[in-house]
Amino acid sequence: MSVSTLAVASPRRLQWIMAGGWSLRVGLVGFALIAVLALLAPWITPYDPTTLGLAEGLQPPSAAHWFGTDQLGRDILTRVLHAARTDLQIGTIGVIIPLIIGAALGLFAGYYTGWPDAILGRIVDVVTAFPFLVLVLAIVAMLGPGLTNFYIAITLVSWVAYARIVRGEALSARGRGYILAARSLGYGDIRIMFRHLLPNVMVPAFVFGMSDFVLDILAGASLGFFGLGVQPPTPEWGVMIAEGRNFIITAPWVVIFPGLAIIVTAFFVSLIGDSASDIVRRVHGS
Amino acid sequence: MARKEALEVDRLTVTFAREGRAVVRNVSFTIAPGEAFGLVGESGSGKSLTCRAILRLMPRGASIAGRIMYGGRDLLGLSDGEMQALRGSSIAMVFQDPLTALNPVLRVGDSIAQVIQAHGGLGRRAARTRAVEMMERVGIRDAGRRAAAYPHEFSGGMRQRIHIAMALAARPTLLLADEPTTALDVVVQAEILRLLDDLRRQDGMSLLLVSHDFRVVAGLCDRVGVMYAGELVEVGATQTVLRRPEHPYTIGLMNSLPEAVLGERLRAIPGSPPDPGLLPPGCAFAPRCELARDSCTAAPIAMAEAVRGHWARCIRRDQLDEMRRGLVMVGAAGA
Amino acid sequence: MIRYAAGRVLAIVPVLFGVSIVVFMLIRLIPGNPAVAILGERASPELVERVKNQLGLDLPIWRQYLHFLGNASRLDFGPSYFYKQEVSTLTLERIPITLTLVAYAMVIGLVIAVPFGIWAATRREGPVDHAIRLVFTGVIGIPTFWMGIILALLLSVRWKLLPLGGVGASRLDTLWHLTLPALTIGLHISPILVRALRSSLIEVMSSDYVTTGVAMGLRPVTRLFSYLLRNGLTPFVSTVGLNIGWLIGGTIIIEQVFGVPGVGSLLITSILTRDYSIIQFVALVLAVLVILVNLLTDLTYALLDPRVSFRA
Repeated sequence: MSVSTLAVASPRRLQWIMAGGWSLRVGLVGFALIAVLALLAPWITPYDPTTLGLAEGLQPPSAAHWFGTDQLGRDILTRVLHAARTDLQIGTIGVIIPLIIGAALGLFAGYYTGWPDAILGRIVDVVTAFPFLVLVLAIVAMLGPGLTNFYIAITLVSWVAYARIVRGEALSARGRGYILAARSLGYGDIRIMFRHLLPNVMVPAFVFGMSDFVLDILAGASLGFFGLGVQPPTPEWGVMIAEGRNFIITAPWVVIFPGLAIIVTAFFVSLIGDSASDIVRRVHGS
Repeated sequence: MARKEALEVDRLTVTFAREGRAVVRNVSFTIAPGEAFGLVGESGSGKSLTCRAILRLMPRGASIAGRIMYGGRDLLGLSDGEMQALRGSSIAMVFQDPLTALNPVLRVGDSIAQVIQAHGGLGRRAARTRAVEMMERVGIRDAGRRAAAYPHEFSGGMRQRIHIAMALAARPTLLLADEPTTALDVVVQAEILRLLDDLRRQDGMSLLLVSHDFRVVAGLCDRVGVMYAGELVEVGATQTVLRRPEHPYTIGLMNSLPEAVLGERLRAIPGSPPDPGLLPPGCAFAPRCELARDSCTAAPIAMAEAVRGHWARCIRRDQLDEMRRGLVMVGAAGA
Repeated sequence: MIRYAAGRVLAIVPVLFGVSIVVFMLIRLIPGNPAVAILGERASPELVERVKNQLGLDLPIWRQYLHFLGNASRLDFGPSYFYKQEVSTLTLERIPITLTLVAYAMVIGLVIAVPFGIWAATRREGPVDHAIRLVFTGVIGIPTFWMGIILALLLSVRWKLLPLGGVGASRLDTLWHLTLPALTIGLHISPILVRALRSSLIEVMSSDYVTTGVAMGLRPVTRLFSYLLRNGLTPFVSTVGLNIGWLIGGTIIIEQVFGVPGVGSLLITSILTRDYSIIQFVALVLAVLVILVNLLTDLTYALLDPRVSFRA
């Protein structure tokens, strides 16, 4: 890095390469579509998600019910879209809160090194020794089922991944020119950490957030499937699959469509995440 | 050992189709049997790619045109199987960075033995013995024990010796060396060069030595070629080229060496090497040349013979006396 | 190498302690009185007192922890009030079947992933590579329980190819019964394996020593084994080991879905029946399993890559 570019401001921001290829665009468009549909669900769905219509139970997909009906006569398309609100919320909150906590702790540890870093390292080692799902299940088991407790469990377990990433980035970035320049000018630690270091170390964390989003939805659906997550009557894809399980032979659509919803959502988000990490690697690696 | 052959590179052109640029343009030269030929130029001049093209070790997306004659065959027309048989046994190559050039998970003795077995029909144990002999030949002491060590356990110079041992293990008649000393420190550089020279003379092997450093080439090579922007701009016997260079770029290269300038400031060639995609039709060096005229960039310049066996691609050669006067002989007395 | 191994073994000791602390703290997360939670609302006050004493709940926390450690080292986690058996016995006797399932799933996962990983790496950036990556990206998003149900529907009910889970009469029969669950888990982890293999192969393929191998005229077979695989498998093995947690997570779900009597289904059932001691013990066991697998992975890596123990 030439001396002339050692301005005190952070180095130039990532050029957002829209040539991330078609997979990035497909992922963004697909996810945006799902998000919009989910947001507008209460207004665009033809039926109410909780209306029972026992006479119309277990109808296969038809013009009246695009995804068919479940055993209680509820329209599956409606329920899938309403459940999307829950599951997307799970993904979002399940990423944002651990991200903030983990990034903050990782930033401190990576910047100061020494014993804060050592302590963080130990904690990270211990938490990651547990398989993700096991620890989440155990915490939910202790606290009781429900969405809030699920969020608590996810937060307690997920933050370490973000902390580890941000700590690594901070550790390598703190020795770089712009940080040394800032310190030599007497800027306070907090200011350096948040104004200079933070923007540059967060990108890999956000990229990881994409795959974490998928992970959280899958975890939420799994817990929902076992009755340990979102509680009825709130619709959730995993819960829907569990409810339809007994009818899978005669009415497989009850199980298929919620499952497809998860698969498709996860696919689009994964596309975004993969493209993002490719771009990051290309820029970082140069 | 196979019969000694001449290597004849004829109008070699390397293009990267996707980017539409020719990084090696119509390069032609010959290496006589047993001769040491040096290829000098800045990075980006195409000298490494020229070297690699001989063994067809091109990066993805590169296409080669032209002919490379060796042993009566055009190497560019051989099948993959024929190339594989030729590599290592007739023509071998040594690369720049010995740390990354050696397989890190194999013991060095095994690495060398594999090459011997690939081309010899020698059994495992015989190959291992020969491998140790090769290691001794390249100057590794206690070779018998050291053959069981891994590459990372050796110093840079030692690793390069092992790399050379691998290359010579199947007794090739032509050795290609692509910047073999660039990754080593100065003291070790001289040792390695001397080793290459000794080995070459012992076996009567031809040598193509590629380097950005004129001194390296000057001390070792019988003939030298200077490349710029993918083209050969001057070629001739080393002594002749050193004593009386016939191209402004060659003079510039020699001038920019620290020991070429006694007490004067380092004279760098102004400007920077051109983008291969944006070359003028004529002389590629013209934008940086103080003798350039309009006629230089109008049309492609052909090689002209200045003295017998000494060619240069410059139409302003008659104006070079002034530039030559400022030169101090580089390595004329030997390495 | 010995020194390196010893170092690694020593390094896991603090982690084991940390894990034990987490497991210890788990029960303290329960809102309200843990003893009541364990025994249920209708437990008599005397029983509650007895459990309280057993757990040492009125002692200061560090003494509780030591008490806990003492019990843990004797594998005494108390009885399960649901199964009427010692928690440790109950859990440990289910470990073999879970390990079998995990190993079986890993084998299937590799069988699926290795050919595709190699194929994608050799045709890199081509249409085949993109197609493979796309398909496996889709597979990551398939919920394990859903995949299990659908595969069961197709392979077991509709086409009657495989049995529906549970256990069989003999060793071999059990393996047959575990095929459908193992297949599901194997599919579940295959994307990670494909990705890891592909990227480590690509990295190796573009390295200088591979070019040297070509330049020396070595035969493609020699190069494949001595140069490509020998170097490419190492980071792959490492990644596989690190993702064992993902594998275990999938196994837990699938065991419950297919009714395999392993540690995973025990965990889920215990959560539903609020059998806290089992939950604690299972969490501990699984964490120890992960730690051991990671240790094994480290040592294997050191064996495969001579540079590692040298640096340590």
